[in-house]
Amino acid sequence: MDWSYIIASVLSPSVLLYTLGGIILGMFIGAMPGLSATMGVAILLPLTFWLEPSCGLGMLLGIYNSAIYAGGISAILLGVPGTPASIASTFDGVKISKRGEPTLALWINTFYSVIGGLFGVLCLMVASFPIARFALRFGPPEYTMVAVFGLSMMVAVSGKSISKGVFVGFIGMAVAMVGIDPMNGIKRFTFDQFLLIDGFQFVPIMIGLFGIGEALKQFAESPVSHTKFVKKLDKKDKVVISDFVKESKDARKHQSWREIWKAKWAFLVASVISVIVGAIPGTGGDIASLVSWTQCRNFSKEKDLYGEGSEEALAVTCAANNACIGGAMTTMLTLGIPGDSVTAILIGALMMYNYTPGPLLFSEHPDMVIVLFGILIVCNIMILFTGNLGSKLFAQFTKLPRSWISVTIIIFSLVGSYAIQNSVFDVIVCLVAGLFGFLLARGDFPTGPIVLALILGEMVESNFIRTMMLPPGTYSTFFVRPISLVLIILTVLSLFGPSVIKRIKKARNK
Amino acid sequence: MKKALAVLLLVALVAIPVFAQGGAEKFPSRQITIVCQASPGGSSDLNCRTIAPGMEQALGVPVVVENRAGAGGGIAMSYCASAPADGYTIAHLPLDIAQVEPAGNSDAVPSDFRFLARVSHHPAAIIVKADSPFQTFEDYIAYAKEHPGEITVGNSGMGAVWHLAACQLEQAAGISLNHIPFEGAGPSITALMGGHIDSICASAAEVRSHVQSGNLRILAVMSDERFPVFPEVPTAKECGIDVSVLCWLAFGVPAGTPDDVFNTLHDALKTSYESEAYQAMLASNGYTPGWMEPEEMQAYAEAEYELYSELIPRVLGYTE
Repeated sequence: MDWSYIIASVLSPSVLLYTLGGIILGMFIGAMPGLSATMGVAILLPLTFWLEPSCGLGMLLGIYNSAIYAGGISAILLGVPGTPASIASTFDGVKISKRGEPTLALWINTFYSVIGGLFGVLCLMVASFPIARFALRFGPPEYTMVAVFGLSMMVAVSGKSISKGVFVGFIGMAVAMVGIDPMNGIKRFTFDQFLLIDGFQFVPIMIGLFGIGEALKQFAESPVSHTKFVKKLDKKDKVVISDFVKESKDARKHQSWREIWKAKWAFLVASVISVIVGAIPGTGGDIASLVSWTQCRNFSKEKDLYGEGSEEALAVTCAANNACIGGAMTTMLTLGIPGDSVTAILIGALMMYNYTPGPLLFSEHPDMVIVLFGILIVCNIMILFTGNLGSKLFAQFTKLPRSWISVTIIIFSLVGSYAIQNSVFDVIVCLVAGLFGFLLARGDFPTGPIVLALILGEMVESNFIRTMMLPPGTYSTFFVRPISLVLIILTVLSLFGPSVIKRIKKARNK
Repeated sequence: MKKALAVLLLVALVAIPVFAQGGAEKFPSRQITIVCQASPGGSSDLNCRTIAPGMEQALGVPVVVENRAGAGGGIAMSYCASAPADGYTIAHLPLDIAQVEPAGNSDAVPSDFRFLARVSHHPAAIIVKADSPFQTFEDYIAYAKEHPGEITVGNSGMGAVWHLAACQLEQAAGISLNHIPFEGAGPSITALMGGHIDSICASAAEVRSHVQSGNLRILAVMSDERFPVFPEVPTAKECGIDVSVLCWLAFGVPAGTPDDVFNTLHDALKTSYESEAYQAMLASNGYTPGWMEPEEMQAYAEAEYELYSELIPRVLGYTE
């Protein structure tokens, strides 16, 4: 192995420059709702053909890492997830920034994204083969149970009223049913409309629920906020608008070492879960961060704060979606199977450079593998610096008048929903979802369960039917396969565990 | 600020009529759009994005790719079929154009278009895991004949191209398989590698890296000639089963496009097709270069449409 070559290719100025370019571009792509990491990497892929492999891959990995990180920025500041991987970051992030600490929330996003990302790279470096082999053992029965386990989280994300949560969850399920049925190719609820054949796109609904819904809510609420705006005359007697922040609570710019240390177990649990979820083909950052949020809540000492603006909860979700990258890269590099949609495109990029991902890559091109590890580490370090610089800038945004923020959210949401596949229909879907989201918020219904049902609904259905189509085709399949059985036990525990423990404690106190 | 805006508006006022007038004189005078029927990131998108730069050079105007995914490509094809026949909208037309109408995903049919050319193709193949008991295609067929409906064969979705290919194989060989649909070819490959299914029907190009790394084995390709990437793999025809399913990629413009415009685009497409960058993309993805001139392609696409109009309703069990 030629270490001087490796160090020269990771740290050469041109590689660093292209990686930095990718990071900055990724930040824009990630923070903009509707533009996803997948789209960014796909569109820039042809541009990288003309670059040196390490430059091209540096740029693409830069976009990937940074877009997933930056999805959290809009989740925190606007309450709109920039990419689906940041859905769980909206639960607490927006509350922290609303209570007047946006800089702190953004710092948490940057810091935990980076250490989560580095944890993922570490797993990739030391344990890629065992992780990938484990991931391959997930067949239809295991996917069914992963999805059922995920759906059981509806209870956790329901907030105050579980029945309200489950109710909207079923609405989400009904929406997920529209379109071609995944197993038999039969069209359901399409009313002979070609636009409905593929069902509703997830991202416009997500942007609508979180973005437009949030903006409408702000219009409807009384205009009292922690910032007040007055017209003022400046020296040249021109009218300028300026804000009087009542009392700048934004004093805390970052967490102390003690606070970071306190969240160590939550961080570790979330990162391990996310590396595994990332490694399993077909599941990505959205599921990883939702599962991490729920599981960490179960173990956490500040359980009641989850969903109310807990710093630990935000940290967990931010670490989760970036740790997922390391997991997705393990299956991609060791088996040549994409761990998520972005790595599917990265396979194409590697092939272009004549590096075919798979076990042979490690024996034939070990240098390239280590260069990739190096680039991933560089990406995370770059995010730490650019992110912290950027955070101060982005945090200014929350000081704008509320109405401006609302209008910005609406513009971003509409442009974003159109950008996905250049379809006006998606814009309409986004608007309707927004109106629906607003009504839900008025009625004090949670939106989390709908999102879960939309992400997991089809996964349960198609994998359940697939399990039954495969021999032996009986329900016992779910109980005799070890991974599937463990998942069933976990589901039962997470549904009934808390109430059973409560009862036992009560009985003991008597 | 206001001044700048005023200047900008003035420029736009002058520029718009100038550009609009230019359009009437010589083709092409403004941006050309290639409409891709799939989302960014797949083989269709890659095909469009690699052909675009070469056409841009040849034509001297920007050529951009616009993705309009949905309904198995039906959304984009309906959109292109009704676009003005002025040459400024080019449709990416893969095999799906022969299937969207029979599947009820669009009204568009091959005769709605004038095909510019076919650029490449890749054959369907039957693939098993490297440690599978089926060593040869004959083994596979013989076992399927003795045990009808027992072999599981994964595909990329019911009614999608690789499912239809497996159905054509069943028909030609007189066997019956247990079709297991997945959400795309990728997940079916994953399930095969994990040993959850016995075989898959997929593009030979798409599995080439797994075959090269020794994880998977291609039993046979369903084409008239052997697949250039794996010349040692027999064709189904050599094994005595008369079936051929090619996934082809072509480009077209709405029917009624004038000849001079059509020829300009055809020549530009050919220049781009012959470019080093495009050929390198084909080679690294395992796609076979397959240039086919317009008249031949038109007839070929319409014959494929006839085939699938009969096959799809039968396979999906439509009674209409």
